[in-house]
Amino acid sequence: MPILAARDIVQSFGDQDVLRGVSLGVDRGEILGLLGPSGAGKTTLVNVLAGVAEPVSGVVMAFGEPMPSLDLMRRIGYMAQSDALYLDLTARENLEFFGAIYGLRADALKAAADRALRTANLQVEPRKAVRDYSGGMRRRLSLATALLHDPELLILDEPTIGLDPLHRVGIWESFRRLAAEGRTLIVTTHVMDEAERCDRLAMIRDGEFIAMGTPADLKDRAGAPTLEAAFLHFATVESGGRDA
Amino acid sequence: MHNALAVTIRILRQFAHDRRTLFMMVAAPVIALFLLNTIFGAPAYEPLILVESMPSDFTAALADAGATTEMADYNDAMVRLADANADAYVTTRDDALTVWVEGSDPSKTGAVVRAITQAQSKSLVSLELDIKPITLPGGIEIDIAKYLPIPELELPEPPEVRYIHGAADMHAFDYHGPVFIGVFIFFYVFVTSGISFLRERTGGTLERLMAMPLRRWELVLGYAQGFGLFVLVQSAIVVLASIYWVGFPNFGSIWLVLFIALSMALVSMLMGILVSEFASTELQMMQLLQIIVIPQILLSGILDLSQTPQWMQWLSRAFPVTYMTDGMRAVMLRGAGPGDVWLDLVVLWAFIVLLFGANVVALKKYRRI
Ligand SMILES: Nc1ncnc2c1ncn2[C@@H]1O[C@H](COP(=O)(O)OP(=O)(O)OP(=O)(O)O)[C@@H](O)[C@H]1O
Ligand SMILES: [Mg+2]
Repeated sequence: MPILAARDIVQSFGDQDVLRGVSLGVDRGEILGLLGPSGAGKTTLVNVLAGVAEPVSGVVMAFGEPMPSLDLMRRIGYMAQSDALYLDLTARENLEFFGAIYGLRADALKAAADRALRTANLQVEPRKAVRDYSGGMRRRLSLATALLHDPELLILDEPTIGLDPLHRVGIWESFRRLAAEGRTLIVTTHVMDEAERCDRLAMIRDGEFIAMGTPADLKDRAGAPTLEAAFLHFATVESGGRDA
Repeated sequence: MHNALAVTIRILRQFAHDRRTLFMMVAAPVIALFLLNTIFGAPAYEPLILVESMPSDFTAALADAGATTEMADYNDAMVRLADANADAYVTTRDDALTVWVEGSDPSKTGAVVRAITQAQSKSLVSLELDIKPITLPGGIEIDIAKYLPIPELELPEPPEVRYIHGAADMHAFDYHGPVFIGVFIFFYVFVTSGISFLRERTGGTLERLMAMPLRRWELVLGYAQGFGLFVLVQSAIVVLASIYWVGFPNFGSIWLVLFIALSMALVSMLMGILVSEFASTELQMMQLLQIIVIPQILLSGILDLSQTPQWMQWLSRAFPVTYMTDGMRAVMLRGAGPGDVWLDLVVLWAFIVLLFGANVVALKKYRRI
């Protein structure tokens, strides 16, 4: 049974169809990458998967149960594309608030915060308000808040955007470790070298999956040396097929 | 419940870090009250009355009645009245006391008439009070007499007035004190809570919260508690400063006044949060404020609505501020107790419950469950 399964997700805003019947499944311990250009519908899909937005039609099942559900949300960690932090508060205060909502208290909360900060590669400054953090620090704090309750499934929308290569590598090492421990990750990106690190990739364009498979498999099928070239290949094949 | 508490603690921590908001919360109402205090502490208006060929005891009596007098002839007086450089011109025509008034400000005209009436009865000049219309530049003739209550001549002994409510030294304005308290609380609380909740949305944290095991009512309750504490302090400041500093009279229990003020503050807070649901920027929030708050303030009881069309009176009954004004007036001016204002309080708390529910439902826009 997949940890998360979505079937025929359709989402539209006004008369714009943003997702046109998308299906996917992720297994335990897997890192699934959602790769696609800006405006492809990655955030829209991820919001539906995390239960933050409801699709026009289609079902999302997490751990075998339909989303959205408050109990399931306890087992899912979600990181939005925007940082979604309380800028007036310090990093610790942010973590304490989000942790409290997950039912963490006192020592357990402190231990969870320390662990999440390590995983997110962030050293906090005790007295500084998050407002005065750099963009990259905020990004990592936002990641830490998603990791706080040690969720089995992580849904992360561009977790490394705006980060320097050093931190990016550190964070991907953390992702690998989490997957090895049996956590499942869904990560959106439009950076090719990150896509290479995923176990499986779903290429999305104009609200549709144009290809899905391991990075090596996708390159093979496209006969392309890089993922970038493979993406272009599938994009043209797909639209060629549709026009015909 | 734990979740609501977590939200409350977070909000209080945000306040603790946001010194400016804390400062504004005290400073803004205090500045407004200070202005009111100064305006209503000012002495009564002294009209400038031009006189021609009037008995000297009459002129002296005018001065006693609080007017400033100057000699002037007809032509000079007309020029000065037309330029609004004087309030009135008094002379005797065909044995009748005749008064020309500048007339654009009814309260100044009233002061003139009061001074002249008083002087008349004192100086025993029993002349006909004949107020002539004045011609403004441009040939517009205004018949002032039509707009003025012509005072009785031959004033009888002043009656002894006994007060059931209020007191002899109460200013006309004091009647409005309770309304000002209500309007201040309504306005300041609405703005602060509305903008804070708006930030939760524009900052993306609301969406983030909706991905967490936090129930919608827990979020609203958390806000209500956090802001409740905040508005408790704010309304206490407004009430205490209004009564003990500005000097609005209070003949009732200060605790009851505080309780009504807090109830109103809770209504405004929940209304601010609800309205922020319909704004996506702070500018839009300000626009909504204009169409939602200003009409409520106009119909709250600052102005007397008893002679307005029925629909307007019904409309004012749909606004919570009206009940707060009624209750506050009853307590502060007539010394009413809880037994007298319970209906106003019930309506206010019904609004609180209703708005709480409306907020929980409005959040469905972000998550169904
Ligand atoms: N709330 C909304 N209202 C209207 N249109 C929206 C909304 N959210 C997204 N869209 C539209 O849906 C499309 C897909 O947006 P989405 O944010 O999912 O793209 P994305 O793949 O995440 O892009 P990026 O890489 O830039 O984050 C865009 O055309 C966008 O304008
Ligand atoms: Mg996006």
